[in-house]
Amino acid sequence: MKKILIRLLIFAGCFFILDKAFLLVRNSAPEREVDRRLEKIVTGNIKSDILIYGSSRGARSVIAKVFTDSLGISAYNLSFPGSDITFHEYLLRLTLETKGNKKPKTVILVVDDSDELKVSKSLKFRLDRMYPLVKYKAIREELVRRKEKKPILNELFVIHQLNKSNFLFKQKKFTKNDSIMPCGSMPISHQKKSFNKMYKKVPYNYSRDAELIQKIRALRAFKDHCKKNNIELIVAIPPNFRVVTNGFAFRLNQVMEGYATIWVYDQKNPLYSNPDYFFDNAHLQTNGSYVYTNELVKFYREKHNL
Amino acid sequence: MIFNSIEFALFFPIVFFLYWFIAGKNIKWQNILLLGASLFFYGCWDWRFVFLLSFSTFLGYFTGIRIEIAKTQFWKKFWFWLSIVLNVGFLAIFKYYNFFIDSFAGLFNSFGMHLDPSSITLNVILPVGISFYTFHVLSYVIDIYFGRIKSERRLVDFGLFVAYFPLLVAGPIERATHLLPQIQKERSFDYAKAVDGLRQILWGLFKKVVIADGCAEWANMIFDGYTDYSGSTLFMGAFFFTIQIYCDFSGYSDIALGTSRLFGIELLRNFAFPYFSRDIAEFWRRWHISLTTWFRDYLYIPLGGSKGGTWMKIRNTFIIFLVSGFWHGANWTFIVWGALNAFYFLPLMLTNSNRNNLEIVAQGRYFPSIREVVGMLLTFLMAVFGWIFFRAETMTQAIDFIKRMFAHGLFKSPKLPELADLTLVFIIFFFIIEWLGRENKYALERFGLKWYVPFRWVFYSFLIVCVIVLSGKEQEFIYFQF
Repeated sequence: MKKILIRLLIFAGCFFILDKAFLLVRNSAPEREVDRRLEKIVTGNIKSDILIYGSSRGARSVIAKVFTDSLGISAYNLSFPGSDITFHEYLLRLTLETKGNKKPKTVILVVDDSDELKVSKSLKFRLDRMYPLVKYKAIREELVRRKEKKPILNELFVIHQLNKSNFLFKQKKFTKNDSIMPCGSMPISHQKKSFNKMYKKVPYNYSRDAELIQKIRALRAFKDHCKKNNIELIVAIPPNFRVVTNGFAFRLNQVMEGYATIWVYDQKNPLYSNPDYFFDNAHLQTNGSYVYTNELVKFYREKHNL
Repeated sequence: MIFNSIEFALFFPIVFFLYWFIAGKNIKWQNILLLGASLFFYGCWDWRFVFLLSFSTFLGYFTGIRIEIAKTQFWKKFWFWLSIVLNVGFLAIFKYYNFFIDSFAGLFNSFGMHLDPSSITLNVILPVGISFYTFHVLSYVIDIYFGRIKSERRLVDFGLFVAYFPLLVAGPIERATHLLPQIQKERSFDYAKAVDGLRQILWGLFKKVVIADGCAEWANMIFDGYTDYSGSTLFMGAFFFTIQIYCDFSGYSDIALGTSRLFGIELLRNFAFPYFSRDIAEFWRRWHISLTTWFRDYLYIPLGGSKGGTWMKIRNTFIIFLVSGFWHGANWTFIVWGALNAFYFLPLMLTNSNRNNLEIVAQGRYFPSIREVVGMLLTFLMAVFGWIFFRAETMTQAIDFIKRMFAHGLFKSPKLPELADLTLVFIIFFFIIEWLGRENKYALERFGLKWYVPFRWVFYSFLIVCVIVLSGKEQEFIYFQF
């Protein structure tokens, strides 16, 4: 018994030292990323007055630079393709809690018509964006909070903080779908091959059947962060290649308990039914994004009498 | 509390310490401690389950004694059937009641008679491991009835036989003839056995956390969204599930056997490298051995086995495979999976070639012959096809999955995320180690034992690093649901 205990102790000691060598893997991971926006939040480098959150619709449709150029107000886009409201809520919370970040005056949440609160295969909490940044304590704490990592092991072992993606040592590159402007926006300048260009004129009716309670809670929490910090919240519904879902804006207003301004684009504008302005049925392409952002800027200007 | 959890990582060393340092060599205290730990372990799922487990234990204990001391055949039969009916009855209520109600309702509805099953189905959760411990008790009672063993009079020893925590929730399904004598024998610490146990635990954890959970990510992604993928990607989904289920279950068995060896108790072997089988009969001799031998001894042989005529052989083969499928769960998918395996098995049995491959493949050689490679590949592909039914949630899904697999680009390059390549690298590594260790009880049994200690420790460290890196969210073992 004594023999095995001694051997186990020596092995554990050696292993503990070996574990620390993985600090190199952990600390070099952020350098391989091309999208450094999350790192900007976690290191306290967000200094804009207007922040935009959302999924790919937020990333593609709103060009933050247009705000800066037209209004002289700094704006930055923190929308991540494939992310859902739970992730947006986390990003806003992280932005507000991290020292060094400037508290924004306005937050624009770009929502998905009509999947924002529903079960969705394509929208999720983007854990894959977090693992490259596990060198930052705030990220590690969130992973533990979400039960992705175990608290004791997380404190004891560097290797437990890692994920298999940390072992892909390839430098990531921009693709034609994921190029990021300095203002954080990700407009797209081509059309998807499978885009059928059939504009749907008959609106869907919003149904609450597939709503997820976690998403409703996250949207409420998002609103609460804004309310608590006295931040203006605009919820923007961007165009799909169809008319807006009936009752969707009403439902959002209901969940937001009247705190946010729900803004829907000008549905009479013929450009939004022109396929040349769309990437696919759910996303604008660059020319459409400029049209949409200019309209949003106009709304913002009028709202603030600028 | 599952084996790959922090709770178990704390629970196990405490029990180990108390067992060897406090209970010492006193067998009575060792058994009391293990029984208490087992009940605590089981109660961590749901304390109410402990009552059910205790009832099953008392039932087996009491009826076992009654069968043995019964003075007339009538009473012997009475206690025997009482035990069988109650044990099977509990299993039927918890596991199969809702399935039968739903199936009957479906049948009535197809004849135009409206029957709403929701009004008579039960809102109960399936107690973890009920299929496993019920089978322990059944084998014990049957063995006493047929005079193969004597009843156990020490309640603690019998309780430990039924509830021993390493095997309680997912087997191996033990036999009284194998486990009870070990429980009653004095046990002392053995360094070599302890090291062996730790190695088997490590290999089990690697299989579960690195391979099975890694494959689960891609298998789930593909099965959940199977309508969006090409045939080749669907094939990869079935392939990942094939690896997942083996590593998940055999990984659990390895951890159970290794844990038990640290307490000086040897459990039955449950897997013997089934994916290196050259035909389906060999596969079934190597897959979930404790369950297949249970069915062989308590169902197949009493039904006449393969001694009767051709029709009897066919009937018995189908019965054993269908029951085996049904044992896994109350769903038609499991029954079809069982039937499919019976169809695979039948030609071998009818041509008397089901016992052609009894020895280990390529024994004493590094490489198999071409004939062996072809045999292994075909058997593996048959298994992959069968697992589609096992994994699918409904028969409709299984059939649709298979249709799409063959109809849409089976020979195109599969569309998988970049990280799936890493899982494939781990799978290749895993198969190499399994192949090298296939002549042993588990792959790591002798692997690297002749290496210098530092090299061996580097290898252990590699496995541990993989396990710790990939041990994120706790994934339950698939067989817990059975």
